[in-house]
Amino acid sequence: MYPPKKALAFLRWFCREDYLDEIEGDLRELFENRYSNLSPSKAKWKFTWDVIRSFRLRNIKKFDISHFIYPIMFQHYAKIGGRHLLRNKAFSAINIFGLSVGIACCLSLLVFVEYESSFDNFHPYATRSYRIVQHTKYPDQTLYWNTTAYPLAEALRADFHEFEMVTQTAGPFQRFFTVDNGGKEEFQFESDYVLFVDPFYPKAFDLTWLAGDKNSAFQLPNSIVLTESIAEKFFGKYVSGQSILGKTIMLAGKDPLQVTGLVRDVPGNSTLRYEMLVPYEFFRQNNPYPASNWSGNYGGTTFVVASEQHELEEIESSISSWKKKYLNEDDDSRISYKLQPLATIHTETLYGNSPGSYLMPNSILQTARYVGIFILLIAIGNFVNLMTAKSVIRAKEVGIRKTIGSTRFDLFKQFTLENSLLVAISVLLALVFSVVLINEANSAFSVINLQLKLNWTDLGLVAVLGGVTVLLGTAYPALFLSAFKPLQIIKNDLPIARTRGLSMRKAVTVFQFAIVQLFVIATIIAAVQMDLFRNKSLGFSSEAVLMLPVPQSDKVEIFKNQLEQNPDIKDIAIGSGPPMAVNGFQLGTRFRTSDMPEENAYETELKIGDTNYLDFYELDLIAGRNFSGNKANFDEFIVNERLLKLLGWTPEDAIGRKITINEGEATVIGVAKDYHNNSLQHDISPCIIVNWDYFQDQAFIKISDLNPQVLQSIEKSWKDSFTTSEFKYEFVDESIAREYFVEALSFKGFTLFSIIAIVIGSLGLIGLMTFITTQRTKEVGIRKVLGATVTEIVLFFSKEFTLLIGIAFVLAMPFAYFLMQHWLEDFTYRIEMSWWMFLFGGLITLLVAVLSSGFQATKAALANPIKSIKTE
Amino acid sequence: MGQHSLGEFEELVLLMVAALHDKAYGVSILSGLEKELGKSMNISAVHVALKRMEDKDFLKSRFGGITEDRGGRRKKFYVITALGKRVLDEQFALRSSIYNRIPKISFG
Repeated sequence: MYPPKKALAFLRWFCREDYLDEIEGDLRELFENRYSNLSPSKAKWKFTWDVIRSFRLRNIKKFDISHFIYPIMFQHYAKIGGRHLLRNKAFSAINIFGLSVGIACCLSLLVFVEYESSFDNFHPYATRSYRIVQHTKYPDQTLYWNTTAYPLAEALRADFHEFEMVTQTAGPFQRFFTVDNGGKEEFQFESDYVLFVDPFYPKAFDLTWLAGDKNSAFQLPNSIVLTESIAEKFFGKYVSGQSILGKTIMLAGKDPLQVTGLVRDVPGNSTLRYEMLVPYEFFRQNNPYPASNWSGNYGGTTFVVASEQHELEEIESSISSWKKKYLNEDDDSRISYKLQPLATIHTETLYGNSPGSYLMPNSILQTARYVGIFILLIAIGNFVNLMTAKSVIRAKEVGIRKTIGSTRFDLFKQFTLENSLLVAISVLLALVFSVVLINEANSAFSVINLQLKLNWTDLGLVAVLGGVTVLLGTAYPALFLSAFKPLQIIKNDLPIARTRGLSMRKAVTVFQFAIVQLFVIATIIAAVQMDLFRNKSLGFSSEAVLMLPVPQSDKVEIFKNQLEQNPDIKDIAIGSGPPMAVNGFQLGTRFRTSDMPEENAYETELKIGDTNYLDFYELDLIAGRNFSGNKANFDEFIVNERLLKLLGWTPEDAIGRKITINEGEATVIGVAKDYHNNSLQHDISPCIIVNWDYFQDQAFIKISDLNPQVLQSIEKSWKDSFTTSEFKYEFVDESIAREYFVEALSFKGFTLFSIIAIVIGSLGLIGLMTFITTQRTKEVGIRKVLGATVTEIVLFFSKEFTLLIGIAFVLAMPFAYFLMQHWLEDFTYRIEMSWWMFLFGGLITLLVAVLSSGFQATKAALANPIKSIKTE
Repeated sequence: MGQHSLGEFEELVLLMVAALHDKAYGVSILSGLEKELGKSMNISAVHVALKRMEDKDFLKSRFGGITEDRGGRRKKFYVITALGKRVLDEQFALRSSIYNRIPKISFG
């Protein structure tokens, strides 16, 4: 006859001492009466109920806060904790390092993801702003455009009351400027980000005006609004905004533009990039044809701000019935307009890069988020494993403390404080690492204008993570170790099942290594794919080829002649671009035979070359001949095999037949062997090479020996022949490599994070091995005495880990397979995953694990058995 | 009644303490009340009433001796104080005087 233990313990826990005799006594007396008069179960139930009813403010103990404010014990704990840290320097170091690297990686990745997801969300109407995108349906494919015909914006503004605002941008384009520098030499300038915007733009989007204002700045066509950094370049750092207003800047050396405003630079998380804003009206006056043409798509972007009460679908469907008012019949059947929310512009891959900006596909952001969380989990798991291992070694201390009078709560406080000390150091270190990492990332990706920074919310997140880690790390010593009877601990008579019962820690280890192997396998597969990108034969040669812009003028010949004198220059060609489209630039047109109706025409790339283009890039002709000479108007086509396939012609067939493109008709004189005219994520597309003056705006120079003198002499000839403005060049190889920027980024990410994962994972293994070998010191001694060799003992310890890593491998394999399958699906030219990549990943992990755990095992196995048997 | 407020349940407990004279502790009061009122109540309510009235000096208490029963916990016995008795008297007087003013007619 004993009342329910838990209820009684609860009563004793909360009830104040001076009431306890009365309350517990009465409750027990009632219980005893009910036990014999009613029934045992009812008595128990009622006792519990009585306890609950007695849980009243009046009966609750005064909370004794002297535990918390009495500093001596805390000083003591801090001192002991510090001594432990210093005593096991290596152990503490790996522990702190592992945790801080884990937190730093996770934090940096989350900051990155947050930044990339925050694109364009700062505009005043961000939630109801849309970009108009265009789907164009052809018999063989649908094209997705993020740009639309220029007149669309004005027409929408006139006809749709569903939109509060419709605004239009053209560009950003590259333009040359000259600034009158106080009568001295003229100052030449080039900007890649000249954006033409209408007067609605500054109202729909957020601009911070330092001088001028949004109502007046775009009134006159010949105005220009500068951003801060470009104004600094033009006029120097210490010129005030107001004094800049009214100054004149010459566009392309002929159109004077008056400065009407100064705005802050575009924040990094904006897809709408510009350095200068010029009224759209100016663009329209100077480009009357595209500005009035409904069929073409020349880089105009239309944004709308929808009023609040209209549904997206309604608007889209009314646009689809409205558009025939302006589009011709063919276009009307082909083209449909959709509204794309502003927030998805940066992450939706369907429409490609916004002009002047870059894309960050959602899938990468997801992956980054998971990688961050997984690394953090590995690190925390590790910390917990290590702290647990360490606290078991301190079991004796716990026993003695209990004997002297420590309560379990005291022990909990002690371990919490010690762990907090470690975690606090790790967190501080993690913050330092994150700042370094983030700065590194910002400078490494200055190309895409990455501007990451830590927020207060991130610090809060880290604090929470730290707290959770402390509690998890404290759980074992505080809950399990402190529960043992002191005598048991001191006599080293711990219940084996509970200290050796590693099931929880085994599970953590399996989980950690599953993630580690996932990362390693992913890295290997990504490496093989990157190797394909770098080393796959593209069908043309681009080694040591320099590419630089040339104006379309007769001076090109002079320039070429000058360069040909230079012995270090092997070859020169002129054209619209290298065989593979780089920097997002590719000319497009549509082709058909004369007997095909116009609407059945196919899309094709239009590549401009000269007579030397094919030889220069070593493109093979499989039929016909090269261009015969330079002509102002083209009459000869060289086409690729892919194009013939669409028409169903054989190469021999094709020679001498006529093809019509938008720009005119010509005869096929040659068929080029297929080469990669698109980067390897995409398939080869039809291509027509034309020798045409128009669009011949790039010179390609093959250099035999790259040295500063060659570059200088090229620069000199270039400036002599054309202009005094900035000399810019790039290597075709590098431009091609840049096409795989996102892939290279993921590959680098995979590599970096799998190394980190492996390091943290191995640190955990070392910790766990220390734990196990210490626990089984005596066993090892006895085994040795009975004749076990060192190798046998090391194998005996390693066996278990090998098994755990094996299980982890089996778990990781399917995930790795499906994830990488998904990653590879984006590429037309991709590797086949094969078994060795997986096996290799598993073996690397196993090797690292064996090396790190084997060290501890060997140490244990080499120990003198006499000493270990004597251990009490 | 003035500053000496006495709730209905408190009055019952106080009466029971006075009635049990020197044998009044939690369980005996509870069982006495349950028998009189014919319904079950919770011991903690009795405890609270006792504590409140002890604070108001209507009751005083002492501990009984240690026994083997009750898990070794002592009983706490309550006795009514002079003040407690006076409050009871006043309460009783107040009620009777109002009661006596009820005209016979209203029992029709």
